[in-house]
Amino acid sequence: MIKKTSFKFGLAAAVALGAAATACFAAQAAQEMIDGVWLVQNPTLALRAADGSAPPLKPEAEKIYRERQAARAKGDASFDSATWCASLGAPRMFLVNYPFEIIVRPKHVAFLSDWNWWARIVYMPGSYDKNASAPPPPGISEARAGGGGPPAGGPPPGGPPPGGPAGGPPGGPPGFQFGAPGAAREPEPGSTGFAQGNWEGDTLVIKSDHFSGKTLIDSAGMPHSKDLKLIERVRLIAPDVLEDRIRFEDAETFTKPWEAVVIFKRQSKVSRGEDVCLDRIQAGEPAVRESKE
Amino acid sequence: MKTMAYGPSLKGVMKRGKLTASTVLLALAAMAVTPGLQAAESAPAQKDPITDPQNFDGTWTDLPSNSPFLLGIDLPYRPAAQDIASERLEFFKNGHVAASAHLTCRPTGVQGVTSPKGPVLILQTLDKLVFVQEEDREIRKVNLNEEHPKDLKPSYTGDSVAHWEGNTLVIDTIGYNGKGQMDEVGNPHGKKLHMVQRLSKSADGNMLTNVITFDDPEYYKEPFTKTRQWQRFSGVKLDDYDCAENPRTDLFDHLTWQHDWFRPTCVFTVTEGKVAEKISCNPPTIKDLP
Repeated sequence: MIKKTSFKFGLAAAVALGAAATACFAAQAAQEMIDGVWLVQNPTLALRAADGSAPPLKPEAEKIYRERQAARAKGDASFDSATWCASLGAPRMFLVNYPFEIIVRPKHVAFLSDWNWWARIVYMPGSYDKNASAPPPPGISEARAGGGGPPAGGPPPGGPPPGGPAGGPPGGPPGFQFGAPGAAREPEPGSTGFAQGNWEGDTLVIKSDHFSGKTLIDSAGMPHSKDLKLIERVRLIAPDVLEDRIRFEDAETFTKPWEAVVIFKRQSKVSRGEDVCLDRIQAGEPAVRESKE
Repeated sequence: MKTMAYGPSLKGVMKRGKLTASTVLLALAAMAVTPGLQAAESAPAQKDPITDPQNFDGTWTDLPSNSPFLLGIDLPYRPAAQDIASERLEFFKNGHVAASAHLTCRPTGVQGVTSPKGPVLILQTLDKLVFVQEEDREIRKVNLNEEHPKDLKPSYTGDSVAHWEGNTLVIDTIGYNGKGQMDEVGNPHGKKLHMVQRLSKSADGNMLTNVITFDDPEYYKEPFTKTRQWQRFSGVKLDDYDCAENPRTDLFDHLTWQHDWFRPTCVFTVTEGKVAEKISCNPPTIKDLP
């Protein structure tokens, strides 16, 4: 009897484990399938909510958005810092007509845009420690690594410029420290924010904050504040189709949180070129390819 | 936005107790003077990614003892390169800076490889390694077990392919556009530069040694080799380094323009300390490299 029960339990456990393992492998395979080069299916000028409605902008934000759209229609995009090659920021960098490559690693997922070589890094569990500091290098004392002048024993490799000031460059003025990794660093507000992710089965969930508030949500000029928070759910919905379900939260800009869905199509190969926006605008080309919408 | 600096700035680097080369240059001017990853990804699970000698995944930073300013002054210059290097050094000693790829917000190519000023995230997969750098902001893709394309388009970063020799990753880079820089002061290199790096990890997995051989027959009489070491910097986040954010005219005042191709197209004019409300863009007429 005991044996029979054990057998039944063992069989059930084996089936359960098998199912779990299958699910696990399926999730892992899906995660690996996200690796690759992607391009937004419909380059987006003005982002709409998933149900097709207009985003719930507050009156002041709505006014700014309309003024910008009117200005752009007249050929004036001077509200858009990307026209002089400042960062597109997230999520706009994925809405424009430029491919991006996703690289999935255990601790980081990188979104590498072809536009002006911008990267958005997603930090997976265990990859970020606000108190992180590199160990002092061999031969450098703790005190010196934490501040002070150049390492003992003279100037760094390369030596000082001939006739240069003693103690000056390249060692630098007294009190300056080159290359010291330093101690804790809080995330700086930035154009791509601070993106932290985790896998929920085959879905990459990304929560982003720490935005600078200086970039646009879309090329039409939708504003946002520093308080913007994005919650994205990224998953394959077909082998070559990627869905990014983006929830926007920004009480300063929107009357309520809202959600957009963006679809990306897999591209056949990685771009091997180098896109330098400043060189392109110098040649008279637009900083950002126009969306067809 | 108008208060933000264009190009390299003190913010962030000072916060982490580190001063960038470009910042110091600006300050001085102002003072008027992967089978690799096969190991990592398909390798047995028991392999520790930190100590696995063929897994470079993770975040690294340059050693404080590496100079971000000069690769050296003892390089085997040809006369033309010696003239360029000397002239830029004179600018530097006199409180000016030659407008360079870095200071005008382009990729730097070699300088980014030899002396990154912030963290470098290496992402290693079965077929490539990607180096993502905070400052100088760079993304460098190194393709494993491939050959350089025949129709290579010159670029600041060049084209990199790599293979493993034992536990040493050998990266071969060609295809430069000749506008990049070897270092911050401005040792030059040309389009024909061929750079070979030999990267290997220490046994404890916390140091990455980068032995770099430069072969540029146009500017240097013979190949020469420099060694750089990076240390592991786990847990750090790379901040967004938006160099081109605020092109105010006064922030270009300290630059000496040796070439027109780095001149800005769009600027906020600053008149008697007042910054224009609106940007003005005028593509200059540029005589590019042949």
